[in-house]
Order: sequence, then structure tokens, then C-alpha cells
Amino acid sequence: MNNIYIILSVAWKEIQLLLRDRGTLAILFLLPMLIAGMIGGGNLASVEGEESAILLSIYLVNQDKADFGTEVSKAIREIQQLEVQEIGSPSEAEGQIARGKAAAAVIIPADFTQKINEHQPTQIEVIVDPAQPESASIVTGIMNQVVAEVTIWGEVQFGVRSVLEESGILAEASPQEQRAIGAQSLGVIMTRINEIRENPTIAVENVNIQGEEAGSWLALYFPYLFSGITVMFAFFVVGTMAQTLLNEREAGTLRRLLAAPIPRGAILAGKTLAYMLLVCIQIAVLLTFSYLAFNVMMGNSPLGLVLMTLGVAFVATALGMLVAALSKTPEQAGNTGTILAFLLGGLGGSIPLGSATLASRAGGLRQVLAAILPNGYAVEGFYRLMAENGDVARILPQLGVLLGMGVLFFLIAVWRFKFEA
Amino acid sequence: MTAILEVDNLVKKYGDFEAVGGVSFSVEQGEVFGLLGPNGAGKTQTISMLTGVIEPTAGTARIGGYDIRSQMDQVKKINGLVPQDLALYPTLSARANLNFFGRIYGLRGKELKERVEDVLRIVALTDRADQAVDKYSGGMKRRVNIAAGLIHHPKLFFLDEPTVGVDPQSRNHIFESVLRLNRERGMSIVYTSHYMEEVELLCNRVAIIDQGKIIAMDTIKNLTALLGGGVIYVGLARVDDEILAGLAGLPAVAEATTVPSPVAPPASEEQALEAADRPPVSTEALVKVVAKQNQQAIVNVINYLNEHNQNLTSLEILEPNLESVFLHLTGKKLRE
Ligand SMILES: Nc1ncnc2c1ncn2[C@@H]1O[C@H](COP(=O)(O)OP(=O)(O)OP(=O)(O)O)[C@@H](O)[C@H]1O
Ligand SMILES: [Mg+2]
Repeated sequence: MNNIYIILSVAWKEIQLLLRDRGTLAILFLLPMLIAGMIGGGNLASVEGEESAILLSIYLVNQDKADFGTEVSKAIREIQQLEVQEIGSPSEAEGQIARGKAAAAVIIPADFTQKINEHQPTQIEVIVDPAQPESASIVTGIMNQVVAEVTIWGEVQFGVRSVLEESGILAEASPQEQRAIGAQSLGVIMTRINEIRENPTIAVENVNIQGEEAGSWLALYFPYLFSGITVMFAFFVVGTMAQTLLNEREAGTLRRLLAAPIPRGAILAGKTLAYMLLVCIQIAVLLTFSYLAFNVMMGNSPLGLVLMTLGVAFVATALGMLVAALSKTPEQAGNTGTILAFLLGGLGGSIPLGSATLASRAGGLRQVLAAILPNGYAVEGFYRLMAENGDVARILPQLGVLLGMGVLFFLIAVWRFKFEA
Repeated sequence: MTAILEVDNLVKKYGDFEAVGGVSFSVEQGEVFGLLGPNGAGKTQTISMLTGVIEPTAGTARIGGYDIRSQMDQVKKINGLVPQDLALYPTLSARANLNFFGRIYGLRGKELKERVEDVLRIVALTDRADQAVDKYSGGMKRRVNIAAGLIHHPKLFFLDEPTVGVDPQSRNHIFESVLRLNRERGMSIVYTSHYMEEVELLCNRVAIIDQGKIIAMDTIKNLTALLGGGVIYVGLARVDDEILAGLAGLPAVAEATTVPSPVAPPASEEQALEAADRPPVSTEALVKVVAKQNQQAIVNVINYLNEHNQNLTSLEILEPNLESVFLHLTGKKLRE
């Protein structure tokens, strides 16, 4: 008799049963969307919140009336998180801080521009309210960024001048001509630098968020978050599958199948096929959702995504068989499956702990657990594809481990499964 | 006549426990054979071995000439099974269930469709075939359960207590279907039950099975003849050896024994059996009188009790039937 036909018939029956089981479908499809949507949405909101909220109010004392002093004060005033108030002298600022009117003061020394032009070290002083130590680090951090921006300009200018001087072009030129040549070169170079900044050759897909820093952090965090939750919920099929298999044993439909002239393996294979298909659809739906709703990067290897999906579906259904083989009642199988899905998700690194560092790379206990449990490999594989533009070759180790685990689970399951209670 | 089923000393053990302790019987082509026994007698275990659901511990059987140990694949094509439980997918319609079980037997396309319609007609459910099974009444579910076992037109049909939890109307319908399958399609049938009147109605021959062993096997006529007359339960205010001996010595009485109270026939929930089963109401002593001939024995017993001034507290007459045969052979009721 045609075994393929039997396997497909069993699978089709299983799919018919699943389509009528709304509760299970909701758990497998809607719940992960809801959870991923809530966590993802929360992250977006908090990043956007940081952008608009004023964190600190500070005083600015600009004693340098030349180019760089002006540049820096302009840059500081443009920072949205800071409420900036200019004030005449450092001592005045100090007095105001002491009275708690502001968290910090930024003082640009009078020789700031001159020192930069001479390529000598210079400093921007930050006066902080000792009662608010945390604001010190925030302001210092922001200032380092601002100064870095401005000093690139200084560096370039200095560099251009030395090149021009060494080339001897400036020797015959009048002072006006010298300045014109310098300004022209500088203009050309700065235009180029700005162009490069706006169109970087290494493109990081822009995750519709304002603010470069936050954007790139989320862009790397989201592939982890969404693939992690997807993988975790793929394992919810374990309980469903094990429960339906034992239900059949209890109800007696399995007995009918055993009395039919078909190999026992065909019954298990048909079930596995149906549930693998279910997991594949589930992963496809969840990844599509994360792409459409959160613009999560998908990398550039569709084949890799398909293979990872198949790998996860295989190991999850194999685990379903194993749980069925080791459980006595359908209820026990269902509960074991659900608990297992949570445990594997939590311990195996499906749940990002507020950082974009994968469990499989986090070191310590997290990494050890991720190296033992299938979720660690599954998430690592998806992350390589989605966040790091990996190709199929990059995920072969993960695929291999998932396949190996699946085969092991299946063998134990087939060995231990009792067709008759 | 040739046997379609020959069972040869079949054994099923679980550890030291013998669920089936070496049963042998045969079923002729075109016969309706009954397996009658109380809960846990080993009926389902026997059928499970014959249909390939479980492996026998020892012994074997031949079905249609094929050995169940070495040629199960052939055997399975001959067998049809109606499991004791409702072996159906409750959320699927009757038609979807039947389609699935048909495909499992390799049926497809037009043939599958025809078979499904055919078995739906047999169990008279064509009208409601597209409704989910869990919306059906108990009797209708049982009918689908039977239809699913018929889909591949088996030659030997095993029905394991197919009428459990069924209303009288559906039960009659099931009886009719079984008899028609036997008469019109020549199907051989093995029917298990603990309802003796089902077996009496349907079966040519019956094996009575208890604790994994066949304790009697014959035609119903011969089995009831075993009892000769029947059994009369006589409730007395007081009983002693002298009275027992007196009763046993009566012309139409074969034997008279006291029945220990715990074994007294308890109340039966079955309306149909009420007359035969009704227990003595308030009796200090119960005497079981096995009659050579019922009518005569009753007259003898009542006369004897009158003559000896004994108060009769209850009198129960069991017609000679399988129920009383079983009680006679095992000292137990078929159903408790
Ligand atoms: N898997 C098993 N392990 C141990 N004992 C079993 C197993 N299956 C059945 N038995 C025992 O075998 C005996 C026969 O069971 P079986 O189901 O054949 O009885 P039955 O005659 O069909 O009874 P019923 O009328 O209640 O269906 C019972 O005592 C039962 O407890
Ligand atoms: Mg039974």
C-alpha cells in the first residue's frame, strides 16, 4: 500500500482537527504576536520618550568668542535632552548650581579655538552639583560626543593647513589668497565627510526611530527579541502535539489505526508532518508580523530563514513525540509541554534580558544553558541571518545541532512510545 | 463450512497477571459468534490480539487462513473493528471521519466516496453526515463508530460492546444492521457483550468467558439446556440442613443450596432484565434451587414449605437463559 498516501492522509486529518481548535491556534499565533508586540512597542516608546524628554537643565559659559567656542555652544543648545541657559561667568554658574537651579554647568575656556588651531590639548570644564552625581556622567557623556564632532572639524582644518604649507603652494600666495585656498580645501573635505556620514557605505537599515544611537541599538535588539519569542512559541507545539497523540490513544482512534494495514511509523510520521507544517507557518507568520509591524531586519538569505525554520520545526515536533512517549495521560503531556516551552524559552535564551547580547554569546551560565538547549541554537541561527546578514554557511553549525537533537529525540520517542496504554 | 477464524490457545499476560489465559474457539464463515463475559473477563484483550492492536504473549490464531503472528498485514485487510470506545474524532463530521478511516485503508477518489455513502446508508446517518460527531446523540455516535469499521468491507467484523450507552431505538437499529450485514453481505461477526439478551438475539454460538478463560461454549439452545429447567431463588425466614435436604429431595429439583448473602443477586438497572434479576427484598436466608423443570419445581417447593410450616419471604424464578447459565457456572452475575 502506498505509505506516502497514508502519511499525507494522517497529516491532513491532523490539520482538519487543528483548524477546529481555535484555542490552540490563538496560543500559537496570537499570543506571541501580542507579547512580541508589547515588548517591541514598549522599547520603541521608551526610545522615543528619551528623545523628547528634557533630562537636565544646565548653564553654559562660553568665554571663547571664536569659531570652535561658537560651534560647541550651538551644538549643546541643539541637544534636545538639555535645557541650556547661557550665563556670564563660571563663578556665577557655580553659585546657581549651589542653589540647585541647575544640575551642571559647561564652561568653554577663552583659548579653546586657539588651542585647537595650534593642535594643543584643551578642555571643556563641567561643573556638577555634588547632590546629583548621576547627572555628572550624563552631561560628561553628552559633552564628549559634542566635542568629538566639533574637533573633527578642527583636526581636518589643521591637517589641510599642514598639507598646504608642506606643498609650498602657500609660499607665493598673499595672506588673503592663503585663507581662500585653505577655506576652499576645507569646504570640499567637509562636504565629502558630511556626504559620507549621510550615506554610509555600510548601511544599517534605519529602524524608523529618531536618533542614531537608539536606532542602531534597537535595530540589533529587535532581531533577537522577535526571533527569540518566535522560537519560544514554536516550542508550544510540543504540548499540543503530545496531547493529541495521547488523546488518540485514550479515545481509541489510535486502536483503529493499529488495526488497519498500515505501518505504525506512518501514523507518527503523518502527525509529525502536520505539526512541522504548523510550526513553519507559525514562524513565517510571526517573522512577517515583526517585519511589517516593527521593521525588523530579515537579513538577505531567505533560504537560510527557510532552513532555520525547518530546523526549529523538526526539533520541536521531535520533542513533542518525546514528551508523548514519556507521559502517561494527555493532560500530563499537555502540561509538560507547556512548562517545557517556558523553561526552554527562559533558560535557553529566547527571552532577551534587556540587552542585544544573545544568550549564546553572553558568557557565564546563560551561555552554558544556551549551548545545551535547542532554543540557544535556534535564536543564534536566526540572529546571524537577520542581524548579521549571514548566509546559509553561517548557520550550518546551528542547523546541524538542531537536526542532531531532533534525531535523538525521535529515536528515544519511537523506542519508548507505547501505542497501547 | 470452513472456519474464517480459528483461535488456538491465545494468551495475554501482564507480568504475572493473565488477562487472557489460553482461549481457543473458532468462528465459521457467515456465523455470528458471541463472546459473553463480565467486566474484565478478557473480551477486549482477546479481540485486540486478533486485530493486531496488541501482541499475544502466547498462542496464535488463523484468520481467513492467515496466521496472525506472521501474516498480520493480510489479516488486517480481512478484519473490521468497532472498538469498545467511541474511536472517532469528535470535532470532525461523520463524513470527515469516514473519509479519513477509508483513506487509511488505501481507498481514494470515487471508490472512497461510494464506500462512505454506502456505510452511511447502512447506519442510516446520510442526512446528518456533515455534522460534527460531538453534536450527535450517544446512539448516533455508536452508529458512526460502527460505520467506520465497515468502510473497507471487512469479511470478519469484530464488534466490541457496540451498544454501550445507547437508547433502545438506536440499539434496535444496531441489531438490525448487524443482522443485515450478516445475512445480506455474508459477513462473519464476532460480537462481545455483557448483555445476554443481545447475544441470544444475534448469535448462533456463544463462548462464555470469565477471568480470561472460556468456561462454556455452544449454541444458545445447548447452553440453556445445561441448566435443564432453570433456577429458583427461595427466600426463607429460617433455613437449616433438614430443610435443604428436603428441598433437594423434591422430584423436579436437581439441587438446593444456600446462597451466602453477599452473592445474593443485587439490583439491576436494566428494565428488560428486571423480572429475572429482581433481588429478594428482605430475606434472612436465600436458597438456590436448580430445577429439572421450572413449573413442576415451583409447585413442589411451595407445597413442601407449606407442609413444613416455613414462611416464604420471597420467590424468584430465573428462566433458563444465558444469564442464569452464567450465574450457574460462576456464581456471579454478568453485570454488577
Ligand atoms: N495494559 C494492561 N495492563 C494490565 N492489565 C490490563 C491491561 N489491559 C487490560 N488489562 C486487564 O486485563 C483484563 C481483561 O481486560 P479486558 O479489557 O479484555 O476486559 P473486557 O472483558 O473487555 O471487560 P469490559 O466488559 O469491561 O470491557 C482486565 O482485568 C484488565 O484490567
Ligand atoms: Mg472490553
